[in-house]
Amino acid sequence: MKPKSTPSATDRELVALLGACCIFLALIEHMIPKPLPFLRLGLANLPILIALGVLNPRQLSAVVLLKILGQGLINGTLFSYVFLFSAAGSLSSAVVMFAVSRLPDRVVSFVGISISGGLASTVAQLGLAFLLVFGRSALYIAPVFLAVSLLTSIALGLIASSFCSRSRWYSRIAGAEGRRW
Amino acid sequence: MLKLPRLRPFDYIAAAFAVALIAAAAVSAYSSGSEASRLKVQTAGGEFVYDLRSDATLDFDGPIGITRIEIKDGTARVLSSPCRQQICVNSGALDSGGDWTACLPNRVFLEVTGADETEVDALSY
Repeated sequence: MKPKSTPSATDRELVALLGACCIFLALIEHMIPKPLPFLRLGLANLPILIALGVLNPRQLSAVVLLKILGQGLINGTLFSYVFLFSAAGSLSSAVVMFAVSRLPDRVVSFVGISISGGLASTVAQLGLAFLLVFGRSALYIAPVFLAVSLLTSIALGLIASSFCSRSRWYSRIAGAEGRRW
Repeated sequence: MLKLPRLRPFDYIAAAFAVALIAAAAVSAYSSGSEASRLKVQTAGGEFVYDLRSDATLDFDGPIGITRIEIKDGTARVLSSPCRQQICVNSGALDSGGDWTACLPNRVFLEVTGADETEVDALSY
């Protein structure tokens, strides 16, 4: 599953398309009421999951950056401390998901990748909360956040997997090298 | 319809790791508990801290008289107060971290703090 290494025009379009999907999904996410600001579904991570199998690390970083900036813009948190949390969560989850997605297809599916990414994001944000804002109080919310993260990331993994196994668009861009689901 | 994927070894490993992490976080967060351990009293004459584990009856001088506070069985309450409304007396025993009461006329403020920081409330977000 090695993504093509030479960027072509279509690859650049793909980065833009997936980035746009992130921003669109962030908007959808923003409209869904949530009990606490940090309890999110993580819908905007779907395009990242899908991108893992088809983009190289550089292009992937571009999509992740688009996602972080787009989310900041849409949620209006771009220049607040909340943005730090969001950025730390997105970056750590992208790095972890990228690493896990290098495992062979027979070892891991989107579900495992998604769970790892969700965990990384939650742990990073809790770590920041511990260090910067709430101190030990952050521990009280940790189990709730981790549990919610586990559930939403399983759901996202299933959706990504279902999408990629059926989408002709995905099988075309992923080609023979794409992940088999 | 959602087409479910065949789950693979690492999926289970990741899920198991997540569950273990949740359990560990839950244990470390909730086992220590937030039982009250100290009583902080602010008066016109200064600020005092008492250990809730040792029972005591304390008198504090204020502008309108003496406020008597009792520490018993890990809780603290105002026994008597010279004020008119007796809000502090009626608020009963303070037993968990973050509980507080005050007698404004006599400038006495009581707060119980837990072993850890006080718990987060909804406003903190």
